Amino acid sequence: MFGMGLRHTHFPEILSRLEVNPSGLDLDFFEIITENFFQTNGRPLKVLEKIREDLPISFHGVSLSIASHEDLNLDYLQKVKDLALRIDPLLISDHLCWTGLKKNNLHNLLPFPYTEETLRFLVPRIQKVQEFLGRPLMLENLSAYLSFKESDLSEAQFLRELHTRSGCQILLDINNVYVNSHNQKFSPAEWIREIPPKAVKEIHLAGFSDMGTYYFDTHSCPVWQPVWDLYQKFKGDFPEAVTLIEWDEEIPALDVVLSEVQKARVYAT
Amino acid sequence: MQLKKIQQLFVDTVTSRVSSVELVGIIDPGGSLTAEGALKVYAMDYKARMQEALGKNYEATWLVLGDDEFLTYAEEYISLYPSDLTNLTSYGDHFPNLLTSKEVAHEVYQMAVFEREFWRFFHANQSPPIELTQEVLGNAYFDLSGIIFFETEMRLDIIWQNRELGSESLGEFDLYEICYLAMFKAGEKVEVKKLSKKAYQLLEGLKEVGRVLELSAGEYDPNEWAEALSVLMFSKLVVK
Repeated sequence: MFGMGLRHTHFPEILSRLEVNPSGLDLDFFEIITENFFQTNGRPLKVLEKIREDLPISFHGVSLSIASHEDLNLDYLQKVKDLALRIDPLLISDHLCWTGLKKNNLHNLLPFPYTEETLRFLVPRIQKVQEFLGRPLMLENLSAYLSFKESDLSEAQFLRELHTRSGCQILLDINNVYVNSHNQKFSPAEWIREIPPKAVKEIHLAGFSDMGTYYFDTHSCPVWQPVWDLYQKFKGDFPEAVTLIEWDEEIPALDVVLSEVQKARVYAT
Repeated sequence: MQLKKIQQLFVDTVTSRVSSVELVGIIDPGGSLTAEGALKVYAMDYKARMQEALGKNYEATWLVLGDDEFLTYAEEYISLYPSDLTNLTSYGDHFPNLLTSKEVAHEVYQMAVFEREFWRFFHANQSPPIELTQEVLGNAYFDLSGIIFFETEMRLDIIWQNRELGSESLGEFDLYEICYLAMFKAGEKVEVKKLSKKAYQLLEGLKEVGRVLELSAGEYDPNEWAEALSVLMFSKLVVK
């Protein structure tokens, strides 16, 4: 399956094209930023329900903050669950990160040390989330501009252990692997080989920006060729994974994003 | 170092933009950044993200204030009101209040309230309608909390409609005019209607007292009643 992130700038065109031909977008699913549909009973939710009549929707959260030292936000989880009851999502995912503190949310995906101690802290939290939602949680590797000296596992090894101990699934963001491999100077191929193939249920592809002193994960441009190369090399290793194109900044016309989706189909074969 | 301590130091560093020596000592920066530079990436991203959220929610207010003033107030707001939300679409609810403490024109404050209420309506459910009969018209209690009124000396509606065109384009319009506006949700859309002064007073009075019979008899002529009722019908707050 091949999908794209659903963004409100494309709402009118998506609705009109689906009305003419429900399969005319040549797309298998849309993915939403889950939180964007929490505080609305207005047009965005109506549009989402309309699109759901034709295509599956997956949920991708940015505020679970699973690695925060603070208690899990049950009010937040209830909102995810309520929306899931309404939309019946294909998948539910968030990030292996923390996003700030309850009274001071930084609204960013933040790294933390990959240690046995944080593993032991996270496993029961993930299990609690999965029990609450009544389904597996999928966690994405993040792009980071620093790492912690005390980490004794790589992010890939950490994700693999989390999967083994908690049963969580893995969302493999190949763009993030590539950005981190440049910033933190490791082999992206070796990193991906650490990931258990059956754990990966989704792959993300997006564009980054070269800031000179580091690569920045901006989702503001087409997928870069080295990321396509990694996708082409490894897609076959993750047969159960759906593929998604993300584009969140300087969002272009719908057809530009759809052409990236078509490119993914080609590289996957 | 404990996760709790790392996270508190990180939040303090990002929000104050002063790198903690302790935190600098335990991180490896990415790319060719220094440790301070890596933390600055997160600090700059935080500021940009919060400014962007406030800017999206107060786009027309930004336009009338201009970049320098808006960004100065935005920075103060972000510092005074850190987010406790999981979604930034409603970030900035107190921004109009912050403007009242500044030397900005009353109409700028009204513009900010206009925008806050617009987005509140946009994400809200439509209020259930009241069926309009002769009996209801005389006796019913009209809950008009679903209408926001603006008596203003600036065409907030025109600025809002043209907010994406930039300040130069606004020069084509006569923006300085005493006007009476009603904002409400009609179906899925948020509508803003310009009213005559008397129809505005009638609706505002009805919002306050709730019952038609409690409005001063004979103060409004049939045309003013018709105009006010057309707004209620259009807003779908009442149906035939």
